[in-house]
Amino acid sequence: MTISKNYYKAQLLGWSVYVLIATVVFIMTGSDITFELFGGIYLVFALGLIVSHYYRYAIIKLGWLKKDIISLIPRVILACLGLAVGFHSVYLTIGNFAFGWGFQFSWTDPNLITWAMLFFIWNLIYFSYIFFQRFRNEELKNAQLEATRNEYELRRLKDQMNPHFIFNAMNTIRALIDEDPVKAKNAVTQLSNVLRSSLSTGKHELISLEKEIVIVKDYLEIEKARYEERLMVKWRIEERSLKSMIPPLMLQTIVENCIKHGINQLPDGGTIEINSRVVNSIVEIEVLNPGRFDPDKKSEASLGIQNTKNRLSLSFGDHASITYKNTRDNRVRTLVVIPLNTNSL
Amino acid sequence: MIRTLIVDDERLARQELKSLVADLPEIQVVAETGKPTEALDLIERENPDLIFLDIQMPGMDGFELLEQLTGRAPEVIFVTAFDEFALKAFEVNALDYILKPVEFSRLEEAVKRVSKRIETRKKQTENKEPEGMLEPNDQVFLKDGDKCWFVVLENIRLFESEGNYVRVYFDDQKPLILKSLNSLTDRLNEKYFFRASRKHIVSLRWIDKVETWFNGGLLVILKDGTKVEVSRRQSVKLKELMAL
Repeated sequence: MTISKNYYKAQLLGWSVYVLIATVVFIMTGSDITFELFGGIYLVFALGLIVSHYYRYAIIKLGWLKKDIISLIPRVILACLGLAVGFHSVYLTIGNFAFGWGFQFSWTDPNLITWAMLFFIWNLIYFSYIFFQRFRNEELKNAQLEATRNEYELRRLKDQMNPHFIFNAMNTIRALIDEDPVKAKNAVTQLSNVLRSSLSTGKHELISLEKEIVIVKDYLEIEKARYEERLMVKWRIEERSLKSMIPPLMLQTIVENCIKHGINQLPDGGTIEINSRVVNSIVEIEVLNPGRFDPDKKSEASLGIQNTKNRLSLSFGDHASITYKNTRDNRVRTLVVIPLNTNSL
Repeated sequence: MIRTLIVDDERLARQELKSLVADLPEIQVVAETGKPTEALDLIERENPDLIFLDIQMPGMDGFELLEQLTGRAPEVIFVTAFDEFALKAFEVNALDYILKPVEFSRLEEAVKRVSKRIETRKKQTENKEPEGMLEPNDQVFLKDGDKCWFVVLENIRLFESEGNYVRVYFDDQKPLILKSLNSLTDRLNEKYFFRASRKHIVSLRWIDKVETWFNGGLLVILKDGTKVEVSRRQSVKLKELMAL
């Protein structure tokens, strides 16, 4: 919209400048100011507008706007020559008819060079503008891209930090300071470990299950301080599975969901069970928590699972999976299957 | 003395709050509980002036708990760690809330605000009415979707039944709440509220004009211009009420 408005303005202005310069030149060189002379100048003005307008139409149709500068130069030069010749013959035909000039078309007419120069200047201005616009759009797009990326990064960080958990943990610690200072001190260290790990997780694509378990244990200690007898945890980890590699904070996210949607919803709490075992060079990580999930309900939890699914398939392709289902004894079972040895992939 | 109840599913959170309010002499903690269902009984039995209420609790969240109250709603200060959703609701409706971990000065401010309201209410209800009935200056808790309000009864102009729901008209709001008009009739004092028909309960103090309507019925025009038809049977009652 604004581009096309600018285009018409530039067209009128450009060709008017031609009229002005031509008039001044004629006066300065002492030519007779005749009707024919001015007729010629205004004929150039009118014809120039029309021809260059259709030329622009051709530029757009031929897709020249998308071409780079190298392939444009020969095309533009050729076009200028062609335009000059075409323009000259029409100019003469109309001039002869309207003003009775009686000029013949001649290849040596110096006017041909003038027309070619005019059209060359026209192209110069037109394409400069186009390239300038293109450059500006690119810059804008880059800035927008940057902004989106930053926003995404920020949201990712915020999600990882889990403010609800942090502030509740802080509140628990505040109460513990009076009641059990040793426990309070431990909780501060554990909270620091959890925060540190969630800040540094972006750096690694995979971490060992062993390291992840250390984080989850710290996390669960804090939650235990908060939920007290309402949260119990049972671990059954097979030694061989510890070296397997998983996306960082995967187990952490699963356990967080267990607490948020399981323990937190139950007045008397319950036990979270975390098991891992190796079966035929495949590692199974199983998390059991009390409660039920509604498979039809799109919840935050299902979003988290989807996220984990994506991360697993990014790292392992078809060799890993995550599933969850309600069990008969009123628990939810989340099962992650990953290859034991990542190098063999 | 502000008789206070603390409701939070975490013992340590209750402990923390108790130790904070210990420095506020006007607060007297009469009971505490971690279970929302127990909280309902305690509210009925202890009739506290104020509740410190956690939002996220197992089984029933803080808002749901308030919705279950049948009598007048005590003053409530919500206590929450971080809940973008709830915080928005608070700010829109100017409900009192404090954030965990609790800052003493914020707590003090919130308590100051509610204690002012409690005082005025106590003054107004010195000549006591029969138990169980709501007084004009009692407040009730209303919830419609994500929005919630504490409304002083005398600001309510009209209750209108819509299927299993009742639409409540006050200020510029008209939320839909899950209650029956009959259950409301039992709790509203006849001195202030009148059952105009099967569909409507109007506030007597909001009536502007009464006009005769056909079939011996009446038409009540409220101060905001709302017109409510009064059924024939109830018209007789209304005439008796309005006559000296």
